[in-house]
Amino acid sequence: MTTARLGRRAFLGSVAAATLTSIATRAARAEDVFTVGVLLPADTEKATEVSRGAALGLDDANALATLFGKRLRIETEADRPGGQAGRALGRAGTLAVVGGVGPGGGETLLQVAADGTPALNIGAPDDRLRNESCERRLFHVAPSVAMYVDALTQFLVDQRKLARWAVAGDGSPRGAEIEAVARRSLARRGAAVIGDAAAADIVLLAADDSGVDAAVARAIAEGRPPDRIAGIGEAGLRLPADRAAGLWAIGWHYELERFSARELNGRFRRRWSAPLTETSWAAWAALKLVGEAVVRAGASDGAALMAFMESAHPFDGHKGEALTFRKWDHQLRQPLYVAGPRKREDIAGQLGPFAVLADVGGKNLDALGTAAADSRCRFTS
Amino acid sequence: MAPNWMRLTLLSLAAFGTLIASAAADPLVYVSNERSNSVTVIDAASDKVVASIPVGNRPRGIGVSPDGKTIYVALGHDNVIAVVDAASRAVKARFAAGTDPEAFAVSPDGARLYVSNEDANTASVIDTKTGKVLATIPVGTEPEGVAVSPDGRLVYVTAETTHTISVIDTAALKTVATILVGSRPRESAFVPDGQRALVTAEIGGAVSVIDVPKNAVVATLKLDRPAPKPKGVVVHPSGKWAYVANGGSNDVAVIDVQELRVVTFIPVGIRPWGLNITRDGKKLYVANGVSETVSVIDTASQKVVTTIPVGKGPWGIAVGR
Repeated sequence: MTTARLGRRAFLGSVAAATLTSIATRAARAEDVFTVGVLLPADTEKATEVSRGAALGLDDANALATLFGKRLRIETEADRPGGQAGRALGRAGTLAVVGGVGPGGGETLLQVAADGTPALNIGAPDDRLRNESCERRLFHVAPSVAMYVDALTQFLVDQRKLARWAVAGDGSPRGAEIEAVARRSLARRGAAVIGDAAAADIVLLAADDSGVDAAVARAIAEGRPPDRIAGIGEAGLRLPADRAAGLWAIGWHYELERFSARELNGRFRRRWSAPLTETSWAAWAALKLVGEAVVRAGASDGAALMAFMESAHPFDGHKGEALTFRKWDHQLRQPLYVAGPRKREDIAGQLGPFAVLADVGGKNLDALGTAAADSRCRFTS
Repeated sequence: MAPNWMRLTLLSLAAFGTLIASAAADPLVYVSNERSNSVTVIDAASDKVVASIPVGNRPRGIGVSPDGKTIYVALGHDNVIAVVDAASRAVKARFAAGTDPEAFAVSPDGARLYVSNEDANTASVIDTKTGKVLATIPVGTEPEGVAVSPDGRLVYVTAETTHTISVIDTAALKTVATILVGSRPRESAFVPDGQRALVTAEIGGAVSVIDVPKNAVVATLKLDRPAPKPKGVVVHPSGKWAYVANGGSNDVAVIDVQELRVVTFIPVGIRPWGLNITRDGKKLYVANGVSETVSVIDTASQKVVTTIPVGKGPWGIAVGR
């Protein structure tokens, strides 16, 4: 997958232009203007994806909000160790802060929420943030590790009848989290991790994003067929075409077409000449959610915004289902997808090395992730 | 005994009257088949398929001129509205209609087509005599369903991403109001007196009822089904009932328009999408996209009386003369 980059300067320029336009329009029509903080990760490619998704979300939010005398604007900060950026955005009178992408991003966002500003997590899949470390002001647009793993087991165990699993861990905390969740998810389906890895139907790569490339290479070197390797998140989709392998549970794909995904993907590609990645989708969704809260609920402060998010208002994320936040952990219910390698001869034009093989969860979105009865989240405020 | 000239005249009038009555009761019904690139023609007298018209690529939105002589079909992959002669059943013209046209409406006088341009966030007004675009009007983001008020003065365009109805004044050719409705509005329909309109919200799982003079939502009717995903909507000629095709729950909701409540759900085929009603209000035709059939509902008994196999991916339905 190729991703043209938007420089931070260019992005800040477009934000400045939007702000100036906002000021000019406000002078003419006395609009109410609301600021949304966006935390950009240190990784420039990821930062670009966040920026672009947020910009399209801002466009869509303002296409609605300006019809009703309101406008959103974005203020960005580069996320830095220590969480100063998050606190700066939180102090600036922002309505909400969007972030959570990259190492430590979830922690920064958790602190923003704990300090009193509603925060929308668009990148941290940690189950801990939805359980023992949950925060009432923290809402998760990004799927959790448990959701991704459940999507994989639904597809591979329930549909493809692959019940004997092996786990290839990379020793990272994320890898350990994936493995623990997978054991529980498999047990619920009558499947299991078996001792004899060579006899397994499928090998689960329990790896941190940074270790995915090496984990896939090891599995291939061990003789695993490309469609008998599985993992979570879109890191696996970034493998080059000549090394594309594995079945990956993901939250969005730029080749989705149903439920007007084609239109959303097309608008993004026309604006940025780049594919709408999962990270960009989450940033888009977060901005659009805030925009709808401002217009539909008249949300002008954090309390009203949270009330809207907790009201189970059906959000349209172009996934064909009404997306709502779970009351028990503030996780956005949503269908996920499983993508797998496309035949090399089929890769042409804008078709990438991975194709979407299945939608997962549509009939029962609460079957993905931690159920209410199992949740360890207790909101304290 | 009446003279011959009088008998002949009376006979002619009787025959003409029978013809008119027959035409009113038993029109032709046209079904666009998205995946077989055709329009299926059903005779409403027998509910049998009488013809299949090849029209072009990806036909979806479909409408008939008020005189019944012309069928219009939006061809998404050809970027045109096909103009089909109803008598010869041949495509006689193709109007340029922006990229991937999907939905449109015919004005009550037949002079204009109002087309939503999904990628451009506009609605185009096309002169049906010349095929020329008379105006292009900005609307909400991702416009979809188009409906014209019975008096022809207003056009409603749904916008799926902004969840709005853009209200277009057809004399001024501009948007004069915007109404916020449920999530992902798909289609709208006016009641015959033009005072109210109903709008389906696919993700919202509800129908918004609009007070047309006030440009305001006066009721939101939840469709009490798991993920109903309402799409098509049509109002009975009496104005008493409205019918909503629930693509997710595979049924048609029957709404009492005066009492503003859902009275029943009628099971149909899989993924009902477009629907339309005969001018006498006796029969409702529902396109079942996945079943590849059309369900025919007797509106008096509120039951499916027959199911007709049609082309692949039936999408929209228009009722002719």
